[in-house]
Amino acid sequence: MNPSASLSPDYSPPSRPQPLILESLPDPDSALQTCSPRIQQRLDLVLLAIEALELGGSEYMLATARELDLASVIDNRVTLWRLRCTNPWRRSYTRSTLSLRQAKALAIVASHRARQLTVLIRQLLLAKQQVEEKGLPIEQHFRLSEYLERFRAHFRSRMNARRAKVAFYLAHESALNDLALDLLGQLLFCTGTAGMQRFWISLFDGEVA
Amino acid sequence: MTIKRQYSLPNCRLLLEGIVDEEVVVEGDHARPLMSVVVHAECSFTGSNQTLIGGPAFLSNLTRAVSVYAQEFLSGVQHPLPLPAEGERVQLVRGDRRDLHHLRYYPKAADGEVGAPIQVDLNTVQLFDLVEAVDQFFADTRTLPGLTLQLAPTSRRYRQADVPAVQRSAPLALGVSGLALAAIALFLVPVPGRIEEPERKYGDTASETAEETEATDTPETEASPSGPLLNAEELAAALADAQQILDPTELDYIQRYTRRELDGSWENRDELTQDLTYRLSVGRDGAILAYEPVEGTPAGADEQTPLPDLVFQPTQDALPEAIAEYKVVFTANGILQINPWAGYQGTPTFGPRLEAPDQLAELGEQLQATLASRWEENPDLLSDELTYRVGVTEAGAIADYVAQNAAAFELEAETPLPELLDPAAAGIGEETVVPQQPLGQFRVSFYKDGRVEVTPF
Repeated sequence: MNPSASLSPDYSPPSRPQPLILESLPDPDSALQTCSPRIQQRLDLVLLAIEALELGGSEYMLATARELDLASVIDNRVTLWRLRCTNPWRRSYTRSTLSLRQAKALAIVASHRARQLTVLIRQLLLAKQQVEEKGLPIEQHFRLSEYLERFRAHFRSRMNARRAKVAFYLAHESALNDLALDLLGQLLFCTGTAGMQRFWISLFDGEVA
Repeated sequence: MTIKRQYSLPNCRLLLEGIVDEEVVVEGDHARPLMSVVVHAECSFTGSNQTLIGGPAFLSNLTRAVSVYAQEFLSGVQHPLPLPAEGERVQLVRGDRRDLHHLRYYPKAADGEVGAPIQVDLNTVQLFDLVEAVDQFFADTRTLPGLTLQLAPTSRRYRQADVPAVQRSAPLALGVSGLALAAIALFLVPVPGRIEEPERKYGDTASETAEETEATDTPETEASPSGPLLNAEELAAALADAQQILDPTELDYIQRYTRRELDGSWENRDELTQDLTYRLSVGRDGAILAYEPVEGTPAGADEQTPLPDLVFQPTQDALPEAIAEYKVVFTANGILQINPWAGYQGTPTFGPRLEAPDQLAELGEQLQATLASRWEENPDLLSDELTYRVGVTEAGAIADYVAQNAAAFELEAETPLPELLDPAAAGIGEETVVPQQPLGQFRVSFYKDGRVEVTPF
């Protein structure tokens, strides 16, 4: 007899409780249940910067979500994409909002990815400073210009050029580079001991009463 | 007993000297002693000879200022930080560049007066190391457990509008000056006197307008071609000289485009009493350049087809470079058939394709959402399933579609596809009807019960 036959066919795994890691981030305001478009935009842009840092970034994000037991919030590539499409700048903006739970999951994944990339992030920021001190163009540094180039390419292919702000960035390469470098700085702060909490709380700056 | 604690990072070192609370029971042999009071704190940076030295007030002011500034850096929103009344103030100020930060310290001089401030300029990485040293200190439960990380978002009152003040005040200034100008202008307008009754003229108004429209219409139609029109012989010669389009992909796209054009403009289908067959010459841009009746089709019968309306007369200045030839049949039962005159030499492809799996997944999802929102349960649908191949641009526009089963072909108009079709998004229709941008190809099935399925083709 097949031993597995003893398993009753209508067996279902016990319902999964809220992933514990979500508890590590506080609810910033009891009145807030969903996120503002601005928060959604910041989350997506930070993830975009991570994608520009590592090839196959979105796959690593999914793997990280699984490792952290966040699969109940981000279960596959399409879900991740759908969550990120709450960024109003996106071409495929869905006009939906992130729940706090979903936003927390994205912030946690972003911070964990950033922590994996700490060395690279520090190198790029130091390189930027050195290049600037020497008065050289930023393209002089190979790894840095590669990051900027990828970021611009991602931005161009995914953001909606009909949005005024996006159109501005697309028309001014240096502004888009500044945005990419700015996000790199934010990622650095995510790598710290309390980086995840800091990043999470900072999302709500100017959003609460 | 005095002990030292040090939080050391590549660019920053935070050193604390404090007193161990002997009262607290130390659990286990290896538990670190608890520092309950700090007496001396030092903060130094590599590459800088300045060391900030102070007492407990310095430490608490420093950690608070650093923690708040880190949040400001992340969000770009200012946090109000009331300056502490007691001495040893610490301040962090943003420099004129995004990655320059000034750490200012106002140490207590020996006589109790506030001394000259010490300023240390930090770059972003150095700032981060300072934040990290502070965070490690906060997280250390064996050093001043009373001081821990306190984070709270700042109120929306402190959020700056995204638009700078000058720009924000522009509409107001414009409004005020506009009002002033309007007031001056209106002041100059004379007060109207008695209004005279208009004289009435009947009769000739209608004819005048008719003449006018004719007069304006004619020059326009004459002016639009950019050179003299070709007469029949010249056209025949030009078409004979033109290169034949043989590339199967191109032929296929032009055929699809032409079918759509003809099908869309063919009315009065039930007036046909016999099949009408034509040989069609079509340019690369999809324009119908010439047609001739073949296979016993009477010469004047083209009036029953949309061909006379659609034919595009090339001019001397814009001779067709290449043409594709098709056999078109308007059948008596209202069906349009179109095929390459000389058949296909090879298998048509879909033109450049998007292959990246990530991108395809994104596009597919998007396509599904778009179509599902426009497709409803349709119990009267004559078929259970309508399947199409749909080509989607990188931006998600539907640039091309082809029916994959007979019902899909017949019932195309029932689906949202014709309405959503945007060939121009892929560069189709300006110079050529072959897509100029790579397309993601999907198999799309519409079901009677309202489902839409999208899978990669």
